[in-house]
Amino acid sequence: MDAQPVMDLAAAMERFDGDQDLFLTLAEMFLERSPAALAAIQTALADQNLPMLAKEAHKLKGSAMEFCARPTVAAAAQLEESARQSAVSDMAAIGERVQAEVQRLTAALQVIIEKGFPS
Amino acid sequence: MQITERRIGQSIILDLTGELSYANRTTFKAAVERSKRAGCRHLILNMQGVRFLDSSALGTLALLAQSFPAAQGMVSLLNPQSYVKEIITLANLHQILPVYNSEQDALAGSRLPAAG
Amino acid sequence: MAEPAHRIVDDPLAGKAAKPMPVILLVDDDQITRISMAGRLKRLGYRVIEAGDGIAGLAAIRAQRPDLVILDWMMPGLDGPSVCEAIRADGELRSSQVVLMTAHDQPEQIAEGLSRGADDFLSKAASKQEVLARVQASLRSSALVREIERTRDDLDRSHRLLSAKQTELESELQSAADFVRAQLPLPGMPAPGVSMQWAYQPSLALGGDLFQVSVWGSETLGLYILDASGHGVAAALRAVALMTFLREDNLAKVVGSFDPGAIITEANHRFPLTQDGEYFTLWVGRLHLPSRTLSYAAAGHSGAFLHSLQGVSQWLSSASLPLGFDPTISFDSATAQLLPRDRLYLLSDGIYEAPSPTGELWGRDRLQATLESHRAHTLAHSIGDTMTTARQWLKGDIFPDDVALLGVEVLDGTAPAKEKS
Repeated sequence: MDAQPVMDLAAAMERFDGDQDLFLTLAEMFLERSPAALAAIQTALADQNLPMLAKEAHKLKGSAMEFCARPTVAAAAQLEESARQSAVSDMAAIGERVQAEVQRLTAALQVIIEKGFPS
Repeated sequence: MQITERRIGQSIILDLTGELSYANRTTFKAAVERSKRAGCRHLILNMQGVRFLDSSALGTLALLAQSFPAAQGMVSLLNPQSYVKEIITLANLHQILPVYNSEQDALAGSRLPAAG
Repeated sequence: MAEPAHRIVDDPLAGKAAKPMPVILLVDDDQITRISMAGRLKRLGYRVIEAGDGIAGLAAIRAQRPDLVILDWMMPGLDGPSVCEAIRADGELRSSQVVLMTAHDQPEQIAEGLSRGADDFLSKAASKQEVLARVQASLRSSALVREIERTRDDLDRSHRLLSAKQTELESELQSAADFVRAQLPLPGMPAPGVSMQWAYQPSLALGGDLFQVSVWGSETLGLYILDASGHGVAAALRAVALMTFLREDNLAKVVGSFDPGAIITEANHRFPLTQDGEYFTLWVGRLHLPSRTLSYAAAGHSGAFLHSLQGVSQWLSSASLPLGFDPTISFDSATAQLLPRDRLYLLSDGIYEAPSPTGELWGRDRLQATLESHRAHTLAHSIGDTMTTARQWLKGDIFPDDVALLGVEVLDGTAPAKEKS
C-alpha cells in the first residue's frame, strides 16, 4: 500500500544545496508545528469550515514540499482541493490519510534529527 | 557661396555666386588669401552673381581694400547687380574700391593705380 | 614574532571597492517556507531581508530599497498580488523588481499576477537551479532599471543646472541691456526751448544703435546717432565705446572743438575697422540754440531728417564713408537753419528697412510721409505713431534689425510749446 517512500531525501538535499543545518532547522520547526496543524485540520473538518480547511491544508502542503515528502504533499493537496470544491463526501477519509502521512513524515524526520543523515 | 578663380595675365578674377554675408566670410577670406599668395597685381571680384551683401560683408571688402597696399597691387569690384550695387553705392565703397562695369575695363585698369 | 615590514596583498579586490551583494526582500507569512527560501538564497550568496506579512513587506521596501522583492502569493491581510499593486501605485517604489511565488504554475495565476504588477514568478517547488536562474534574471532587470533611473536623474540634474545657467545668463544680458538703455537721454527738455522724445527697440536684448542729445558747452546742443555693425552684445559693447569717446568732456580734451566734421575726422582715426571687418556709421549734429543753426557731419549714416513746418523738409545726409573705411580722409560739416517748431529726427536704418511679410522694405519715402503727416501732432505722438505704423508694415512687433527713432523739436521762441494731440 505505501509503496512510495515518505520523503525523497536526496531530492531535498539537492534542493537545499547540501545545507544539512538548514534541513535540520526546518525539520525541527515542522515537528514542533505539526500537532497544532493536525488539530486545526480536525477542527475545521468537524466544523465543516471549508475556507479554514483549505487554508490549513494548503499550508501543510507547502511545508511538506520543502522535504520532498510527496505522499504527504499529495494528500494535503487533495484535501485542499476537496475543501475548495466543497466535495464534503470524501473529506473525512482524505483527512485520515493526511493524518497518517504526517505521522510517517514526522517519524522519519525524527530519525534524521536524532541519528544524523544516512551516508 | 561658390567661388571660382580665373587667371588672366597678372590679374586674378574671382567669380562669386551667392551671398556675401557674415555666415560665409571665412570662405570668402580664404579664397582671397589663396589669390594673394598666388601673387597677382590686380584682384578683381566679379560681383555679377552676388545677390546679397550685408554690413559685415561691406566691412570685409573695406578690410580687403586696406590690405592691398598701393605698391603691391589693387582690388576692384566688377559688375555689382541692382540691390548689391545700391548698397555699395550708399556706403560710398567706390571711394576706396574701384567699381567696373565690364571685365575689359577692369583688366584695362590693371595698371598700378596712379596717385589720386 | 616580528611583523613583516609590509604585506603584499594578493587579493584581486584589494584597492577596489567591493561591489555590494544584491539585497533580496522575502515576504512570506509561513515561517517554514520563508526560512527555507531565505536560507537557500543566502547560500547562493545573496543578502536576504525577511518580512512576515504584506504591511511589514511594504515598510521594508521603503526603508531598505532592496534590489529584488519576492512575495508569497497567499498571505493573510495583504496578499502577494495586493502588495504588488501597492508597490506599483507608489511613485517612489513602482520601478522595483517584483517576483511572485506560486504554488504550482497555474496559467490563470500568472495572468492575474502579471495584471496586478508582478515582473516574474517563482514556484515554491523550484529547484536550486531554477531559483538561481530566476533570481539572476530578475536582478539583471533590476540593475538595468536602476541604471536608467540614475541616468534619468543625471539628466534632470543637468537640465536643472542648464536652466539655472540660462536664467543667470539672461539676467546678466538684461542687466547689460539696462545699462546700455540707461545711457540714453531722459525724454523731456534737454535744454530750454527744445523738447525731445525717442523710441528704442533693439532686435535682441542689446543692440549696436545708440543716440544722445546733451548740452555741449553753453548754448549748444550736441546730438548724434551711431550704428555699430553686427548685432547683440559685441555690437553693444563697441557702441558704448564710441559713446564714451563722444562724451562732452572727452571731445573737449581730444578734439578740441564741438565741430561735427572735426569730431568725425578724429573718430575716423581712432576707430579703425576691426580685424573682423566691423565698423561704425555715425551722424553728429551741433545745434546753436540762440541762432538755431545746425551744423552736422556724417560717416556713412544717412538717418537724419529735418521736418520743417514752415520751410523745406530735407534729409541731412551726403555721400560719406563709414568710420574706419579710409582712415586718411577728413570729414566736413554742413549747415542747416532751423526755424521754430522744426523737428529734427535721427533714426536708424532698422526702421526704414523694416520688411513687410512679402519682403518689401518700408523705405525712406513712406517713413518721411508718416513723419510729415504728424505735422499738427505732438512730437511724442509723432514718434509713437510712426513706430506703430512701421509695425503695421511689418505685420508684427519684432523688427529684424535694431530700431532707434529720436525726435528733437525747436520750440516757438520762449513761449511754452503748444501741445496739440
